[in-house]
Formats: sequence, C-alpha cells, structure tokens
Amino acid sequence: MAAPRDPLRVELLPGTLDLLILQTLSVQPMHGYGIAGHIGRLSAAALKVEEGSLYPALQRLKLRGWVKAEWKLSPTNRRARYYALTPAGRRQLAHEVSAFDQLVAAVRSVVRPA
Amino acid sequence: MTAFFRRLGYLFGRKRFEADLQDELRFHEEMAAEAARGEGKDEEEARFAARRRVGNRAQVGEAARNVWRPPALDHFLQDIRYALRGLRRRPGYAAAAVLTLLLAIGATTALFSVLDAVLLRPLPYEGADRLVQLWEHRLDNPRQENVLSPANFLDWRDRARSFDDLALYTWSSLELTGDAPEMVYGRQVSSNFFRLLRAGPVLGRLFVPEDTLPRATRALVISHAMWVRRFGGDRSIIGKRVPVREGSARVVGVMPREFRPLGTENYWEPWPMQVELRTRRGRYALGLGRLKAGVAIEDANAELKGIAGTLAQEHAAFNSTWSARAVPLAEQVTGRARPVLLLLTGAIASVLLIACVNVANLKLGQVLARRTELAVRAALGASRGRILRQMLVEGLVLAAVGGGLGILAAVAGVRALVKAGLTQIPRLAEVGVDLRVLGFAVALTAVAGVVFGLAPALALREDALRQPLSRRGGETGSAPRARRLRGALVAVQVALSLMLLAGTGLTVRSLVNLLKVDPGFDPRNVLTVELNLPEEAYAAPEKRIVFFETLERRVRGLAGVANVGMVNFLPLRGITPGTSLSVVGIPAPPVGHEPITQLNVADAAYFEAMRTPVLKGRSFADADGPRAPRVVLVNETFAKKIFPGGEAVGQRIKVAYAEPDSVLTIVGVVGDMRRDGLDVEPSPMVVYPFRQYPFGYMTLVVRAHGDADALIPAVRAEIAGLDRALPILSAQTLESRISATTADRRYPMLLLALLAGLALVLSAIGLYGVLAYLVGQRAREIGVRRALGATSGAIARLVLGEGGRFVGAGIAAGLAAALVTTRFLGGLLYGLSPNDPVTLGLGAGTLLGVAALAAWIPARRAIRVDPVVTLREE
Repeated sequence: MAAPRDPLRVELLPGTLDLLILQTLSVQPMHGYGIAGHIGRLSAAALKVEEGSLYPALQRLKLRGWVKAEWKLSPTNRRARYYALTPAGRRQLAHEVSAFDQLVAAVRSVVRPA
Repeated sequence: MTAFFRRLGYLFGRKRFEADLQDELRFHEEMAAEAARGEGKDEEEARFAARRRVGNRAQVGEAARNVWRPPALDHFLQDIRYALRGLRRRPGYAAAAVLTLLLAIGATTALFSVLDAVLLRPLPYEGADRLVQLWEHRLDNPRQENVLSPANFLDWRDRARSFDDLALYTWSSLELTGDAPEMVYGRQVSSNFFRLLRAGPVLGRLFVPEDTLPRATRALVISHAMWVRRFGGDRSIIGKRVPVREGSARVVGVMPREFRPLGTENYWEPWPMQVELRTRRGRYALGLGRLKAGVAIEDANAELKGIAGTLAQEHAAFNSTWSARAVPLAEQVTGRARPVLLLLTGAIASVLLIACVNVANLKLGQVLARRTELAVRAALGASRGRILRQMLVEGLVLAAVGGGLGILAAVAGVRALVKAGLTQIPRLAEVGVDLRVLGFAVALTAVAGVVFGLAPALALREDALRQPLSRRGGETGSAPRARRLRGALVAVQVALSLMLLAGTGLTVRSLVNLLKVDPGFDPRNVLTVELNLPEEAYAAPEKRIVFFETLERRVRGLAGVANVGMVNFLPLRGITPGTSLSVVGIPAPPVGHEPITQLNVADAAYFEAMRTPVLKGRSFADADGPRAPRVVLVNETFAKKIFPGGEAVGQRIKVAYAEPDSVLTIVGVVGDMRRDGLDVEPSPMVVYPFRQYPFGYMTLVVRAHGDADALIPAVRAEIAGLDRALPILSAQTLESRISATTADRRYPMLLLALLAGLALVLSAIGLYGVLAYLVGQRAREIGVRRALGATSGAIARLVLGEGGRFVGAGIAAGLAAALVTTRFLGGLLYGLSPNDPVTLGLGAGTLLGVAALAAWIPARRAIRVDPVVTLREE
C-alpha cells in the first residue's frame, strides 16, 4: 500500500520526471542519490522525487538509449553508478524542454488569460 | 530496434543487472543515512529514516526490472506457473484430464500412423498415381479380377494409346540347393518392368538382352530381404553363381529395401516376350501399366474395353466372354482393406471427440467450481481477457503434458499394432511413427489445449464472474445452464460410444458366426506338410507315386499319428484352379457357357484324415491305379448343380484339364469343404485320384492323436530319410492356416474393440465427473431434503435420475446414429445384418451397465450426506 503523501509537496506532472532527470544530467554525470538531491535542492524542496519512481525512470531512460551508466568512485570514495547523457538524450532533452514550455504557456493562457 | 537489442542484453545478463541494481540502492540508502546523521540523528534513527525513504528495496527493484521485461512473455510465464500450481492443487482433476489426453492422443496417433502408412501415403514409386494393374474378367462377372492371357496383353500393348508403357509378369519359383535347400518364390518379368516402376538396383545391374539368350545362365535380381537373409548382405555376391536345382543361377543385382512392388517376392528374373506367347493358351500372367500424363483412368478403361471387344471378335473361342480393365495400383494394393481403414478412421475420430468432450467437461466443472476464485480475481482488477488467457494457458499446459505422454504412448502403440497384424494388412511393414504423424499429434494437442482452455471460460459470461460474490460461493441451484451443457456433453459421449460398441459387437459376432461355419472338415490336431518334388529327379510318374506312398506309410507308423493322406491343394489356401467340363451324353452348351468346376488331386486317406464323409458311392480304391479306368470323386455342390434332381454317381464327364479327352467316371460324392474362405459358399469340385494323376506338388495331411505341432521333427526326419535334398515348403497345423484366413477380419476387430473399450472408459469418466460434481454442488439441497424426511431411495433416485436423463438421451441418439453408420460395415459382416437388433441391444445394455456403475458412486455419496453437517456449514 502506498504511504501517505506529504501534503505540502507538489505532485510531479506526469512525464516531467524524465525531463527533470535529463536536465539534471545535462549539467554533469551523477548517481541516483545525487540526482534526487539535485532536483530537491533546485526546487527548494518543493519537488520531491520518490526513490520508487527514480530508479525505474532511470532504467526507462537507459532502455531508450538516452542515458548510459557507469560504475565510478564517488568523492567520498564509494562505488556508485553514474549516469550520463548520450547524444540522443541531449536531443531528447531539447525536445522535451520545448514541449514543456508549450504546455506551460498553454496552461498559463487558460489560467490567466492575457 | 536498438531498444530490442538492449532488452535482449538484459535477458542474458540478468544476474549482473540484479547485482548492479541492489548495489545502487544500497549506496543510495547509505548516502541517505549519512545525510540524516549530518542532521544530527543518531545511528539507528538515521538508518531507519534512510530505509523508509528508499522503501522496499525488492519493490523498487521489481519496478526497475519490469521496465526491461517483455511484458507478454512475463505474463505467460506467470500463467504457466499459476497453471502448474493449480493442477498440483487438484490432482484428481489433473490426473483425469492428463489420462484422457494420454489415452486419446496415444491411441489416435498410433492408429493414425497405421492408417497414414496404409491408406494415405502414396506408393514408394515415382509417379505412382499413374500406375495401374491390368485384369481380365468374365463379362458375366465384371467385379472379378482374373489373371491375363499374355497373348491378349501383347495385343493391348500394341494397340492401346493410353499408356506410356505396359509390363507383364508371372509367378516363378527357384529351388536353392547347397547347404540349406530352400524353395523361394519370385516373379518372371518383362524387360521393361523396372523401368515402368522407375526403380533401379542398389547393387549390381538390372537385366540386359544377353540374360535372355537361349543358353544363358538364369539371371536373378534379388530383393534386399533375400540378400540379407540368404547371402548375409555380402556385396561380392554380384556376378557370383549360386547352386540351384537345375545347376546354377547368377545374381546380377540387388534391389533397394523399400522395393517390394508385389508383396513378398524374393527375386525377379527376365521373361523374354517371345512370339510363342502370342498363342492364346490360358490366362496366367499379370500386367502393370503406366498411364500417359493427362490420361484419366476412365479413358484408359474405355480404350481397353474397346480393344478387348475387338479381340473377342478376332479370337471368339478364347475371348468371346471376356473383357479387360485397369485398376489404379494404390487402390489395388490397399484393396479390400480400404473400407475397413475408412471405418477405423471414423472410429478413431469418434474416440478423439469423446476425449475432447471429456476434458472440456472436466474443465467446465473446474471453471464452475472455481467461480468464486475467478470472481475475486476479477474484482481485484484482472480483466476478462487476462482470465481467459489464464484458462487458455491452463488448457495448453494440460495438453502439453497429456500430449507429450501421448506421443510416447503412440510410439509404443505403433510397435504393438505392427507386431499384432504384420501379415494381414498390405504395406503394414512400412508403418512407423513419422514426422508428419508427430505433427498431427502436436496439432491435435494444440487444438485440444485451445478448445479446452477457452470454450468453458467463454461460456462464463461477464456477469457470471461477479455473481458468486453477491451471493455466496458454492450455493445451491448452481447454474442450470452450465449443468444442462455438461449433461448434453455426456449425452454426446454416450451416443458416440454406443456407435462404437455397436460396430464392435457386429464385427465380433460376425467373426463368431464365421468361426461357427462348418468348413466340411475337422481342422483340429492336423499337421500339413507342403512338398514339391523336383521335375528332373522325379520325371517318371512311378517315382512320384513311390515317394509319396512310401512317405505316407512311414509317417503312418510314427507314434501319435492317427491318419495320413495327401492332397494337391489344401482348402483355404487361396489357390483354386478351375476349368470347364462337359457331361458325356448331354449336348455341350455354347462356347463360354460350359459349367465350371474346381479341381483337386487326393488319395482316399486324405478324406479320412480330414474327417470328410463319402456321402454316396465309394471313395478311391487301390484298384484305381495308373492303368485302370479313369475315376473321380465330386463334392456335394457339384452333384447338386451339375445333376440337379439326378444321380451323380455313375455319370461320366470330361474335364478340360490334365487329360482333356479322357472320360472320367464319377464313383462317389464327398462332403463339401470350404475352399475359398469360410464365408464363401462351396463351388463344384472334381477330385482326381493321386495314383492316376501323381502330381509332384502335394501336401501331406497328418491327423495326430494329440498335439500336431509335436510331430513336425519326426515327419521332417522321415522326409530327409527318403530324399535329403528335398526342401519342405511349409509345415504347420491346419488350424493355424485357417486362422490366417480370418486374420483380415480379426485385426480390424481387435482395433475396433480397443477403440470401443477406450470410448466406454472415457464416457464413464465423463459421466462420473458430472454426477460427482452435481452431488458436491447440491449437498446442501440434499441435506435439506434429508432433514425434511427424504428416504435414501428418493435421494438415490434424484442423482440417478439426473444421470439417467443424459444417458437415456445419449442412448436414443446413439441408436439412431448406429442404424445409419453400421451400414458401412455391411460388406464386412457375415451371417448378420448391420442393424442386428441383438447386437444393438447388447451395446445399449453394456453402456447402461457401465453408466450405472459410474453413477452409483456419486449416488452413494449423496445418500450418505449428513443433514446436520451440511446445514451447519452455513
């Protein structure tokens, strides 16, 4: 059974998790824990990434060939799996960003008509 | 596309994937714990917080894994696991279903293999569909297949345009001498015989024109079987001389193993088509033809009939009552077995159908019993499609297990069938389980799986899935529609079983009738020894008389021997020479309409040994010697047919046989013997005394006081004592010779009986299953009835009545169907009609008895229902 959600946190729009991960990885290769932390920090903890969705999402991106994974040593000298964008992933990010912009613009024009 | 390959990579690197994923999640947890510690939490708290954040590691892993898994395959594997678990939980049901499938698929595949080889598979020759066998026949008996006159054959060959080629052959025998004297049979064939069959040797060569030069050594092409048996498969045999009675013969070639065009021949030798063959003198040859491409058999027959008509005018004395016909070789080879084989195909199909109904019925019962479970699954979100698919997979799993075992059973079954009937059915030796038959079995199992899996589940409507939850599982009055359906299925099984039982009963009773036929002699405790004196050594008739009479005397002196006689052709041997005759003092009828008689040669002791009575006049006497007046015996049928109302003894006749101009006086009338088959009425027969017609080919008939087989070594020793080099053609009891003649009835009867037994068992399982289910479902109702005072009898009547309705309907339908289908048995029956009421009644009675037995167990369980227990279960 699903745990009760934190009411203060904003639910992610469906499909936006992929976008956020790709955007995060476009800065630099990162491990799963890092990605979750990065997204939380940037959104000032407003966006909470569930581990239960993060890892399947990473595998989904890997299956589609948008990210690749590699075991490396973390700065704290631990073995960690680092994910990095592939060229195809970079193209996909551009595509998803523009699609998201369009969506946001469309939603805004409905919510606050000019 | 690349995603496909990455997915494939996952499937083959699953272990590594799992390890990576677990490492990754552990790393995440540790990092989270570290962060929590940084926030000032103590060790345990930090760990706990971290674990809560990541959640169930197994669940996260499952979600990540599912990204990679091909979804359909995964569900499929899950269904199979589920199905296997389900079957293990219901061992009774699983055993019944698997056993049904095993029996049905095993039996039907084995029988189909036999049928496939005998009926469906083409002859092993190139263009075999254009090969025909040629026959002559009397105009007044168009169904007859008579051997040919070579002269007529040569005229057909010259004139007919429908054939690419026509080949002629006849019987031949060869006496191998040397260490193991042996008589073997083969064929003398025209030079184009092998070419016509498109066959070549595996070793050596075929015939060349030099082989038939007047002084050439006898050239032989031998069969593969003889090469192995007699010459040990020695490759150097080619060109070698082998000792035979008249000196030596040369083996020039060996044919392939599968080349057995005419059955059991051991060798072939050339038959030069010399001009003397054009003289019309008797019919004694066989012909094969190859139709030209595009010529239909009907056209060829029309042409052949026309030519025969012309020949009837050109050679009226020889041909005026004769015509000719071509029969496709495939039909010829399968011959009389064809209706039997078709009949068995029908029986096999019926059994298969019964089995299918059985499993469907079992399955339907299962689905009904599991309605609650299925409804729970539906309520938890399983789609109807998902449930149907699960049913389908269950069916396929059942079919795979049952079918796999069935295929093994089929392999064993084919071996048993071939062993049981090797000599009777043509081409049976070619039978083996082949890949196509295996394909048949696999297709059968797959179809069975789909049908069994889906049909009952489809019958379950959408609302039926929810119903059980709104009421309560296993309630009273369970789905009358489904019950009626199951009842109808049982009725179908009963009807099919009754048809099979009726067919079996008819063939069994027919065989019993046949065995009850008085053959006109007593076959018990009689040993028969077939001998053929070589012509060179026994050229003088006196030598033959001395040999056989000495042998008779010596064998008579052996311990345990009652009578010894001899005869030219034993009854029921399939060889019956016949010819025309005339009665002295009566004007001869027109040519071609003379009376016909069968012929034989025997001595007086033969009739004593066979226990065949002399009805009138006298038997042969010592005085009927070589120089005495010619005398003959005739059988009862001869006396009645040739001299209706008159006296046969004392009449004088002429027979177109050994001495056509001799006047023969009939001195006695002997009882009829069945010669051509137990089911064939006797024909007129003339018997010559051996001392006046001392043939070299005779069969010694030895009546023993006890076991006739035990005499064989002593009789052999006596023969060797007279002529060490003389081969014994055969030595066996008369009873075993006769049983060989009924074998073509016994084999199909055996198969039919097996199928009927199978049908009976399967139907009983079906009925039992339905009634047992019924009692289980209505236990509460029965409990209420008992509580209200119903007697045991009333409860038993309730259950038996329910079963009786299905069985009664099935028997009624089965009787109606049997009346129609048994007509196909017509030609195979002897001494009873296909609608024989006794047999049908017995079949129905048997079925009723078995049904009562199958119904009794559930009925007894119903009687024992304890009202207190069932009512308390609420």
